[in-house]
Amino acid sequence: MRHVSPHIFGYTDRFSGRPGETLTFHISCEGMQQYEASLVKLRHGFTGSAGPGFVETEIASDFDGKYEGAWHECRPGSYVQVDDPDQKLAASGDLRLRAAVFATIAGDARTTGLGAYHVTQNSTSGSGSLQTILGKWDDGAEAGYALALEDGVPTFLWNEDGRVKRLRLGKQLADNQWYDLEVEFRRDAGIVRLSSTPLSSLMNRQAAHASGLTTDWAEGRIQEGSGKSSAPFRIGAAAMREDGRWIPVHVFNGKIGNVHFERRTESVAAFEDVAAWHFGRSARDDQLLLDEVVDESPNALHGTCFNAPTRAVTGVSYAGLVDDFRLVPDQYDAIHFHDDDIADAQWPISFTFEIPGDLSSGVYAARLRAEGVEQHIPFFVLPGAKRNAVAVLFATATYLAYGNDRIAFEADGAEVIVGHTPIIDLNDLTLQDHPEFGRSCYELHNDGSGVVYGSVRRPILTLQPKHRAWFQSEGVWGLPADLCIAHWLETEGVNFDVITDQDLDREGVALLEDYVVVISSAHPEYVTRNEIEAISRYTAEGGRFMYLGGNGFFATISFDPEQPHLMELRRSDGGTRPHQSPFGDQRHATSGERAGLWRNKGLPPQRLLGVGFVAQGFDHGTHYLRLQDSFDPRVGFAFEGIEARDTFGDFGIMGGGAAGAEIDCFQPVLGSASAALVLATSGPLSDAYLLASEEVFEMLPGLGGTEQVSVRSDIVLTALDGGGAVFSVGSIAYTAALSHDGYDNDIARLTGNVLRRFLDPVPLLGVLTSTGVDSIEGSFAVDAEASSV
Amino acid sequence: MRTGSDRLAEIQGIFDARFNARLRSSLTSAVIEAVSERPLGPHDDQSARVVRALGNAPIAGKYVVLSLGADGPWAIARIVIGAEGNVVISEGAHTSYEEAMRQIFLKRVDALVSEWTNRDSEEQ
Repeated sequence: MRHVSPHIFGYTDRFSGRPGETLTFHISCEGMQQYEASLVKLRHGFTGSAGPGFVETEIASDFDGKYEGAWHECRPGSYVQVDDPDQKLAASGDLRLRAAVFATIAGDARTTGLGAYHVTQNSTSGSGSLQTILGKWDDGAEAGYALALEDGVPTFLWNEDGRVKRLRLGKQLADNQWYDLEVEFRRDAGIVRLSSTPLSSLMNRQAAHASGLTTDWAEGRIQEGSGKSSAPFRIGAAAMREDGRWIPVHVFNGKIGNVHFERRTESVAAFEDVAAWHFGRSARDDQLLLDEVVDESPNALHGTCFNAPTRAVTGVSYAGLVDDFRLVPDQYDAIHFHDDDIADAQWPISFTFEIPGDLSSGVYAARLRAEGVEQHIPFFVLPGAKRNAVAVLFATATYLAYGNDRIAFEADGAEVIVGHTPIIDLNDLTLQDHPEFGRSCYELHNDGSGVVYGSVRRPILTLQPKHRAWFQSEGVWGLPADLCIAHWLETEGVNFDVITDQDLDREGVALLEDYVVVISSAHPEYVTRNEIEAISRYTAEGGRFMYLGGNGFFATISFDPEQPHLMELRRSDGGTRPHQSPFGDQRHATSGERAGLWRNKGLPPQRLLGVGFVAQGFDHGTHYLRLQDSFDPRVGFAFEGIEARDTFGDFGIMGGGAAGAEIDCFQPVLGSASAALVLATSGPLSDAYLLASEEVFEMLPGLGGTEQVSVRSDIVLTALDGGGAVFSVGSIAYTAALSHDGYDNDIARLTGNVLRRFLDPVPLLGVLTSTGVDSIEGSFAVDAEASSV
Repeated sequence: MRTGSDRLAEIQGIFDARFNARLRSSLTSAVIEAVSERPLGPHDDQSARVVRALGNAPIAGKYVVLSLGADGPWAIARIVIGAEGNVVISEGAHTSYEEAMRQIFLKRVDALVSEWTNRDSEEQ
């Protein structure tokens, strides 16, 4: 049921821009006629009294003012559309349509696994009883033709004499089984024939000899001249005219491949291809499978993907020996469509913003207000020519991964994984009333397959600066957590530039070269290979990196090189993961990169940061205990002004302690430099904190924080040859403790001390030598080559 | 025709009977008191087993805490797909989320004990 109350929603075309560049804003209003837009600088997000409260500053801009509000529909559902100006795909003459089909929800319930969180309920509505495989079906006019599944039964429908006619087979398709579906028109005889033939494939759920499946066929009468429509030819969806565009309807769930549109003419006895789409073939030199779909027929009726269906998925002929689609394209002739895919809401531009040359780098938002309703559309302004000494890398990839998280409403295990009853807020309820805004990459699609794309171009309600995540009491998460860093820097009087994951991926180490210090976000979980290489080179060449988070640099994402607003995040078959891409589908279509944890791909975060993810829990945070290294005179600068000799950090917005939520520890076995200094370790954590599955090779009892020494957060300082250094705190809750007691606390002091020392260009080792402290046994400096990746 | 789902449901029923017997022996007044005192934990092993069992219930109709403002109050809601916001919100609110969690725990215990009592009556 759809519930509508006054709201404003919107999105930008991309997350970030530089002065001189223009962002577009796409706004939809529900239940109101007018809204007011203002430019604001976001300074702090969390609204509770445990912190400084919500802080923003209005800044005059060209887009300030009142606007007429209009409602725009967001229409999920992925498909391929083929432009056919010469009507070669019209339903005339003798035709044969063929497709290999692998339905994932042919019946009315999904039959796949439940994912890590045991998803047993669906809060978004699906396609309904009709799922379109291919055709030119205009659902508004009920005209055209389509090969479809109706209640899971292969059906051919067309319009004739003003009525919709159907030819149905007798049996529903089995889920997760490849079939060959074929429709043949013999107009001279006035006959249409439909058949389905089960195909043997390694990727079928059941072995052919265990499935009991058989061929099915039916024949009907069809008139010449029937099946005409002005709708576009689509694979995976039908079309309906709405709001000046053809929206997707009756979207297919599952894989389609080996699609041929064939015609027989009087001069040629056999059917010949009018179009032969090869979903495994790329027109690009790098063989990546982006949004263009190749037609291998002479007609070159190439198609375009909309709403990011999943490419680089196994086809019917997959042999199981090679998992790189670029090497065996014929085995990847398939696309997986979902009725809840959404990559671009395609709302019209409401206003634009050309970033002025004098606007300082920072986190901004278009603030939209009307009749007691408010919404922020955040974006990031990179610096112009003049740069500050400090940059903060905002974790926009992780924001996308968690974007529009609905797990608390769908998963039986939501409560036990966080160790307490979920705490949802009113923003979550608004999101529930808008399933069309799509899902996070932690969820399952309506058909039970995992969500692997996140896009900027749709409303992302979890990106609201005041949003709280349901899995942590007072859950500052994502952007609100990173605004804790921004506000702390402001309090420290440190001007800083902002950069995002997309920017660092695109520009590499060149983006970092002018900065003395780069600071991470609180939760930089998802990064690209380019980003890891950039940070590694930056620190190896003398840069100082402050990793003020947890679970960082953990798993692989890619940005679509042609549509960088689109992020890909598949899940591999090892380690912590909310779901898992099927065998053969674990490579990113947009980069060729193997999915999964960087530690399983030779780039463990411990090697880059000195710490790496080891556990998560969301009941309580805890304090830190100072360790022997913290009293080493070489790091006296870090503890200046800190009187505590034993514990510190037993406070914070998230869970009441600076160590908590998702935590990392020092692990030389995975690349933490053995000469790095381990300054502090976390206090006791409960058994709600469980050792991460990538640490568990075989199941052993007692994986909780009270029984596992590895379940801890460590604060580690690594100095590098060449003057570089890395300071890592290994806790998502850490930055939420910075503001405690008006920033007058030991966490803020420690972090500020390190920042000021890192801003001093004198190499840490050089200082030590000049003060004669180099007689301390062991070397504080680590070979930059050894610690770089 | 009997399907794979029917066969799994039969096995689930057998497991549920074992699981509930264990849960019933674990749900003592001492456990109820301990969890009520510290709904966010940490819990001793026996209490943790009970809290997990209740927290692992199917999501449909499940209780959650709903934050109503920057510093609360916190209401109790049930996940009901189709309702506005996909929740049905209980009347009243609590001054802390821990209190809301405590009330949710006690509601779950009451429901479970009622279910067991009814089943005992039916079996007699």
